[in-house]
Amino acid sequence: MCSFVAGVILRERIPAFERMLWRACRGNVFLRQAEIESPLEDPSSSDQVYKSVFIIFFQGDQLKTRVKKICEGFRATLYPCPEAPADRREMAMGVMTRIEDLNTNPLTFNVIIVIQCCHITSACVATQADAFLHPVLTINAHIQPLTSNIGWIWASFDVRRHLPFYPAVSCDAFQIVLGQTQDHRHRVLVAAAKNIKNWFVKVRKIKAIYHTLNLFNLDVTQKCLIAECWVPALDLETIQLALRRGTERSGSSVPPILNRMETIEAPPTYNRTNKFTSAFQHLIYAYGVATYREVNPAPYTIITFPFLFAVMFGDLGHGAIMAAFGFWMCYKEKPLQAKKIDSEIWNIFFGGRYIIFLMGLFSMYTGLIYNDIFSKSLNIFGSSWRNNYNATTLTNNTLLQLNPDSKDYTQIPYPFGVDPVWQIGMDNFHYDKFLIEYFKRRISVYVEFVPQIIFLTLLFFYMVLLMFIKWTTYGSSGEDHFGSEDPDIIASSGYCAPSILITFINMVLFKDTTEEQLRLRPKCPTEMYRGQMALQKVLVVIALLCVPVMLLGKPYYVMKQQKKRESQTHQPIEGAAENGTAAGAPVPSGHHDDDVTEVFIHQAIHTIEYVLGSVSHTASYLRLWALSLAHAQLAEVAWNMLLRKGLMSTGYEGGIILWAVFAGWAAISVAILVLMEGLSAFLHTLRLHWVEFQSKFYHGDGYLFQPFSFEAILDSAGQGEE
Amino acid sequence: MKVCGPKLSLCCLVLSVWGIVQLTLMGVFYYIEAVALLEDIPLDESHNETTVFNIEEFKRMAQLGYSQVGIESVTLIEDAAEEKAANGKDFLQVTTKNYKAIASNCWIAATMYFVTLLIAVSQCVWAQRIQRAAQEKLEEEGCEDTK
Repeated sequence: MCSFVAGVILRERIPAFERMLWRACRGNVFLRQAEIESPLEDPSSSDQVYKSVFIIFFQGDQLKTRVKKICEGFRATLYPCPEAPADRREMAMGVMTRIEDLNTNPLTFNVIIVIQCCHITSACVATQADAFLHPVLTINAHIQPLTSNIGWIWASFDVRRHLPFYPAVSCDAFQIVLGQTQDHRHRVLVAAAKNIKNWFVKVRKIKAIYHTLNLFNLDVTQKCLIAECWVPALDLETIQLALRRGTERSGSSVPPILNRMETIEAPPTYNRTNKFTSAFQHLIYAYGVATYREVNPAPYTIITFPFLFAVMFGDLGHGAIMAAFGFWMCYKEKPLQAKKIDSEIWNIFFGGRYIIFLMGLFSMYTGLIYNDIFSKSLNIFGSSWRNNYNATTLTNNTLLQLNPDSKDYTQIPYPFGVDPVWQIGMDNFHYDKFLIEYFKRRISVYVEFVPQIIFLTLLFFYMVLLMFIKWTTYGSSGEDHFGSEDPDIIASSGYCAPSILITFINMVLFKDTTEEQLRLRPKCPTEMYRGQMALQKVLVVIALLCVPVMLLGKPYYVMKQQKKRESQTHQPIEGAAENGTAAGAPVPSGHHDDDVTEVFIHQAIHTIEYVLGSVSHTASYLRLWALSLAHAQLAEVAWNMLLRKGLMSTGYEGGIILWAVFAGWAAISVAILVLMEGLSAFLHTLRLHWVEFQSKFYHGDGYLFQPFSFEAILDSAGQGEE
Repeated sequence: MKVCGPKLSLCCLVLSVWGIVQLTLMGVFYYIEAVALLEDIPLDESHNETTVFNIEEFKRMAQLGYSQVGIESVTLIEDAAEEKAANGKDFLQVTTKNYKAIASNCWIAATMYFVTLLIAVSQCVWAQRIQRAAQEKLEEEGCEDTK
């Protein structure tokens, strides 16, 4: 005899259901299904879904269990169906009646009742509910409180049946109650949503506290916890006070004890910063955290960073845009911080707002010096160059140099910055070369160790000195001296000024160029000052002598130390301070004589790196010139190609065209010149700082002091979530 | 009436302010140049051997005999200079006309940016009003349940 089960299942699941049945029961069951046309409401998600009704025939108990299991797995709902046809008819009638009931009177279903009163208790519910719905309502569930004065319960009632007892109540009233159910549910959820953030914060804080407590050690007596931690030495008093306050607040009788301990571990590095300096400090940290008690380059960075950036960026107009943006961010600090905007790019810009502001200001300054505003020059003081060539010479030559010696130059230098005439001049870069040397000299002062300093100073500082000498001795002579034959005047004129670069190269190569110079420029002296050749030779020799000192000094010292240690009984020698050679970490006391060769090799690498590095770094500063030139040229191109087309349009539509073109030019200026070039200059400045500056002396081996802080934990958790 | 959203209107606002300031100043500068040029350099007909007179020639010839004027006008002259003129006098006249045309272009554009500014301001205010209304509505809903 066949038995069967019947039920409904989601339409999408039918094919898989069929297949599963076929495989599991080996084709011994028979499935028949039909689709239900109207969609039904899913109780859990309250969407409309399409279902199919099915009936499965099988024989035997085993198949029955299997089929029932499969139906469960596919979440089909099984309904009891009587076997005998008479019973089935009766059941069908019963179901029809119920459906009719539902359709004719829609007020027969469950409701949610939201109750507001001063205090949620069952008594409160009873009185309120009774007052409103007696006697149609039977409440036998507990009221669920949501907040201190709101609660809700589920109840069910059939109003139609009870209507005769409660004729005053109209159907509409109940409709309103039920219609408002959705609204109420929404509002209740909104109220809960407000508290969720607080709950999350509380949970996180508690978690963090317990996590930290887990790091403590349990005492022998199992009665107290011991924690070993790093504290800033200056803050000891504050910490004692805080511990005492905590004891008082928690009401315990046993005060905590704070003891200093000795340890050989390296302490973490803690640099106190305020909101202004912290951005610069983070730039340094990105390269490496300073070793404990190492020189912190951050204070210098505050000035050198924007300055180097500005040298590469120098344009009054673009600098003004950048400074305005930085100023706005700094001015509106508090409200912008409170907004907690999520975009990472915005957070990067906002974190560096002081840097951006300073960079903008410095760029305005260099823009004034370069005399560049959106690629045009300002003529505030009147140019100091005059054109004195006569007409014929002019028409015959397309490119001419204005000789500073002759009447062309009024001998009064332009008061501030580059003379606007340079805008039409082709030679823009001599000025920048001077700047580069200035920088190299300043940087070298910051290096602290003696042979390194000697090496650098002798060579590069001397080069800078030469520059100054050239500036001062080879000034242009006065107007009246043009064409004079006096050898003294000629010697100091601009005609004879040598090129510093060539001089330097010749110096290092020990080349004697006296005859060549005499041949090319016969009337000029071969030296810039008396004894130049001899002095240069001496300098180079001393600099070369520094190299073996750097190379061999430290290994020799280490060898001597080891011999001394062997001859004495084991006295611990703490990492003895090296004499000025390139510093490394102090030698720990357990170190024996196994790596003398290693030290040698190490030192050789250091020396080569240093010597070659100083030359290459000097050349590397040329990027200052390259970038500033690129920026100026880009700005000029933007103006000439774009804005000029708008300016030159004729007629009245010219104004309209200019209106549109200006918008485009402004967009390009901001996008390419400020953003892209700014980013590029920022990167190069960063690289200059990291590689050329900090690699000379900064080891950055330390790790950061990161105290327990609720703010940090909550911030990072909040970010992680989004 | 909505033309653009809050971000676009803010952008337009900033751009309009910038445009007004810069274009007005540029118009003034170009106008001053025109006046200065006309007043200061009465080139005579004698230097017309060349068939083409352009800005390069001008830069060199303009200084002859006049030491106050010359390179100062270099900054803006490249925008206004005529490509080819028959001789010095023509060059100056056409260039002056160009200067004035450019100045009026700038001022017309500045006025148009002023109109854009008004539109942008109205859009900004409107967007802010909508945002504030949405915020208040949210707060209202939450407030009711906590009463």
